[in-house]
Amino acid sequence: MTNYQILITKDHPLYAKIVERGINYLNYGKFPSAPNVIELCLLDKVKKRQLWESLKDKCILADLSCHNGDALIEEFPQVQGALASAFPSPKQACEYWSKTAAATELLLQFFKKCDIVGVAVDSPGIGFIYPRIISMIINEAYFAREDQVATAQAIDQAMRYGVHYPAGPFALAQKIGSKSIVALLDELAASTGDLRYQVCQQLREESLC
Amino acid sequence: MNIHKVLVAGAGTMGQGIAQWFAQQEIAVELLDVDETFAHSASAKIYASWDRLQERGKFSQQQVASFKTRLKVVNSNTVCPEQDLLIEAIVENLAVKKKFFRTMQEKLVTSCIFASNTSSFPMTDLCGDLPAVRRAKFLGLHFFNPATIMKLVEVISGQWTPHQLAQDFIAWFTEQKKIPVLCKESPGFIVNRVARNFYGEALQIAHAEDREKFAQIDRVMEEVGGFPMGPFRLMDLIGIDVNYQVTQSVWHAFNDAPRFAPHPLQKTMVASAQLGKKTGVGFYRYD
Repeated sequence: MTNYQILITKDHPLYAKIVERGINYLNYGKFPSAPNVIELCLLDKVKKRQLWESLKDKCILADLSCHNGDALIEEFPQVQGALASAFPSPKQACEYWSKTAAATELLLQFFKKCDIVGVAVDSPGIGFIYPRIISMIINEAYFAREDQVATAQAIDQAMRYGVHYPAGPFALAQKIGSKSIVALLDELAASTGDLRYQVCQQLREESLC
Repeated sequence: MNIHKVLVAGAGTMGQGIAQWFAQQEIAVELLDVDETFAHSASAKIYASWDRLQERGKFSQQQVASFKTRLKVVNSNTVCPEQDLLIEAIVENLAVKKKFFRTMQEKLVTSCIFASNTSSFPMTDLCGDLPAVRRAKFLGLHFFNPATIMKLVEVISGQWTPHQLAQDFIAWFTEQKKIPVLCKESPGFIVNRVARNFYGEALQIAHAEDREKFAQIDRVMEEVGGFPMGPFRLMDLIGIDVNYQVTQSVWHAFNDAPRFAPHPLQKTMVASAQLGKKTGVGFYRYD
């Protein structure tokens, strides 16, 4: 018996794994009865807020891969932990942050069920670490293709064999999904006001398909 | 494509590696440097590397003996004019490179293909002073360090590079078990452009000099991202000054686009001579 329930949207990269492993979950829209909720919903900031408001009496451990986690956690004290599982790792690992030992325990239980290694960080920041760096690399790869510097295949090969990236940026983008990458870059732009987070047009168009 | 004789100019790290790799393909290599003593010292290092590789069983005694006969140090007076390919890997300075190509244009046969291993300058700028016949045989061949091990070669087409010439090199390098990729001349080409934010965004996250944060970011990029080395460890290895210089060069080439802007921390580290492993201190300490 676990004292948490997973609430997930079908477009989350962990959805298939959770279903395949027979792990109990609730689809987004259902109301969890357990006191602790691992919330893996790919939602914009407004919908995320609405969801958390509806879960006011719960302890929430939320996927904050695409959000300004630091700001949201301050606003919603019931968020006791966060994870970056919307950005699948080539090493089956996931960054997480937790406020309490109990939250850590719950997250580690969840990771074990999914056969994921948890890597603790001191704060979720905006989009944790891996999602943020990889999104910027992918964005630049799209800019390079847009400028016709090389094909996507050539760019992927160059990054794998020139600097030993575990996978090319386009291959990674396909695994992560352009929607999450664009959501994170937009969040970084909105939170920092920095023009460095401008999204490549082709990437944005792909995210709208 | 027939490549039997190659002139490698510049006996620094890249020139040395390129010369060694070509000799290992059973191609006659002449190694040229403005400082002939330096070129001899580079040649001695290549010989020592082959001896080590022979001891480890990577090459046979016969192979190594053959490689050694194919590598020759030359000076500007003894360069053989009959070359199939010239690869320039001299100092990364546009004026110096252009002058070098003008000099070589006088010395080498017109059938010789001219290539640059530059990591930053457009081919069109490098060959702009050369006659049309040379410009039509000019391209970028960007190797990665160490050239004998790293499989990637960026094959860069300039404004005057015939498509077929670039394609011929793609086919030739593929035959030699390299992984060539075709790219258009553009600041940083592929790798040095796309990789900029591996460092840049890591610096944005760290924000300030905080060794614990550097270690955390490195750990995440290695353990979650699957990168062989985290951004701070890698910058320390490359040299923070070298990385800063490449960042600045790409940033300026893109008209100071914000997404390439160097982080103030890079400037501070360089100004305080914390350049990484080579100075014993960088983002980490190496006591």
